[in-house]
Amino acid sequence: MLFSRASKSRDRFQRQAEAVYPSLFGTALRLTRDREEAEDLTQEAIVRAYEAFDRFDGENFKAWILRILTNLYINKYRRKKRIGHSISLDDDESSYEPVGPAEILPDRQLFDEMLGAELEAALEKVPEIFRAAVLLSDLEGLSYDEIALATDVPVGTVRSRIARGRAILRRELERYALQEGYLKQETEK
Amino acid sequence: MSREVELVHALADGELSPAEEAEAKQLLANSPQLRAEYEWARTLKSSLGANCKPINNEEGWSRCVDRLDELDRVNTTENFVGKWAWMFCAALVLMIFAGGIVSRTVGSRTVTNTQIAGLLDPSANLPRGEAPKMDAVNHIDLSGFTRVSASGGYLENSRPFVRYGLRDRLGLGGLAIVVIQGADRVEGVDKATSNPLIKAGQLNGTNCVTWSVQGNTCVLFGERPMDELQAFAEDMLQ
Repeated sequence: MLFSRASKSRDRFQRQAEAVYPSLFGTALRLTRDREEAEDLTQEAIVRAYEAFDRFDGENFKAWILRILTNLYINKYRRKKRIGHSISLDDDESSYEPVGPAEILPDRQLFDEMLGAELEAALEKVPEIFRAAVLLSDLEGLSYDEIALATDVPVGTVRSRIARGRAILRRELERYALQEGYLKQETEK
Repeated sequence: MSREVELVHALADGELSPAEEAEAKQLLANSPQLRAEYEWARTLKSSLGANCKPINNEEGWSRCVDRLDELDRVNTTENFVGKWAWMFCAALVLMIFAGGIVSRTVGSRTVTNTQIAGLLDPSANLPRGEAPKMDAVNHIDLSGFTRVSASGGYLENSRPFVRYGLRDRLGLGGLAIVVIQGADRVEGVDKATSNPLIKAGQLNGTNCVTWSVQGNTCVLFGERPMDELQAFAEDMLQ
C-alpha cells in the first residue's frame, strides 16, 4: 500500500517533470552559460522538487519548479561565480537606463531575420539579475508575482529588472544589427 | 529609471491593474518616446519567445531519472526500516532472552569447580546422608575396587550425587569417585585423553578424570598419576 502510493506519486511527478525538463534545462543553461553546470542545476532542482512534491499545491508545476531552480541558482551557483557579467544585488540597478530615442522603432522584420543564436548571444550580455527576470517572463511566461517568488524580491523590483533587462538586450541587438548591416547608420542618431 | 517606462513594459506583459493600465495608455497617447518603448518591449518579448526555445537534453533527463530511482531506493529502505524497526528490536530482545535461557539450561549441565570442591578430598569423611537412588551407579564396574565409604546428597544447584571412597587392588586408598546426576561436564576437566570417552584435568590441584554414564558424570580423583586414573576409569567403564 505504502509502496504503491509512493509509486503513483513518482509517476505523476516524472510525467510532469519530463514535460518541463527542456524548459528547465534551457533556463539553467541561459543562466549559468555552462552546459555541465546547467545539467547539475537542473538535476538538483528536480531532486529538490521531488522531495517536496507532497507540498506542491498542484496549480502550476512549471512555475513551481522554475522557482526552485532559480532559488537554487541564486543561492548556490551565483555565490560560486561572481565573475564576467555578474553583478552584485547591491549594485545600483538604476545605472542601466532603458529609455531609448523615440525615433528608433523596432523593425519586426529585422527581428524575424535574426537567428536564435544572435538572440542567445545578446542575452548572455545581460547581467544575470536582469537576465533571470527577462528569461522567466519572456521565455517561460511566468507572471510578475511568480518571478517575485522565484527570485525572492518584491514585484516592483521585478518590473524594474524586466524593463532594464530588455533595455540592455535591445542595445546589444541594435549593436549587432548595425554591425551586420540590418540597421542603417543614420538610425543611430 | 522612470516609473512610466516600467509601467509601459508591464503593460506589454499584461501585468497592470485596470487603473494602472488606463494610466499607461494615457502615457502612450502623450509620449512618442514611451510608444517606441512599448513597441520594443512587445517585439523583444515575442522575439525571445519565438527564437529562444526550450533545449532538449535526453541524456540529462535520463540521469535525472537515475537519480530519482536512487532516491526512491533509499526512501524505500528507510521507510521499511522505520516501519519495522520496533519488530527488529523486539526480535533482538527475544533472541537475547532465548540466548539467556539456552545458556542457563546448557550451563546447568556443567558442574563448576566451586560446586564440587567440598567433595575433592578423597580422605574426607562426608556425613552419610540419604544417598539418592541413582541407576547410573549400577553401570559402573567397581569390581576391582573396595568401597571404603559411601555418601550422597545434593550439590548447590540441587543436583544429586553419590560419592564412594575407594581402595585399589593393591589396597591403596586415596581414591574416590563421585557420580553426579544430570551433568555432562565438569568445569576445568576437559583435556582429551587417548580414550575419547575420558577427559582429564585438575581440580584444586588434584588429578581427575571424568566420563559420562547414562547422562550422568563420573569424576574419579585422587593422588595418583593421570595415566593411572585413566586406566582405572577404563576398568570402570567396562
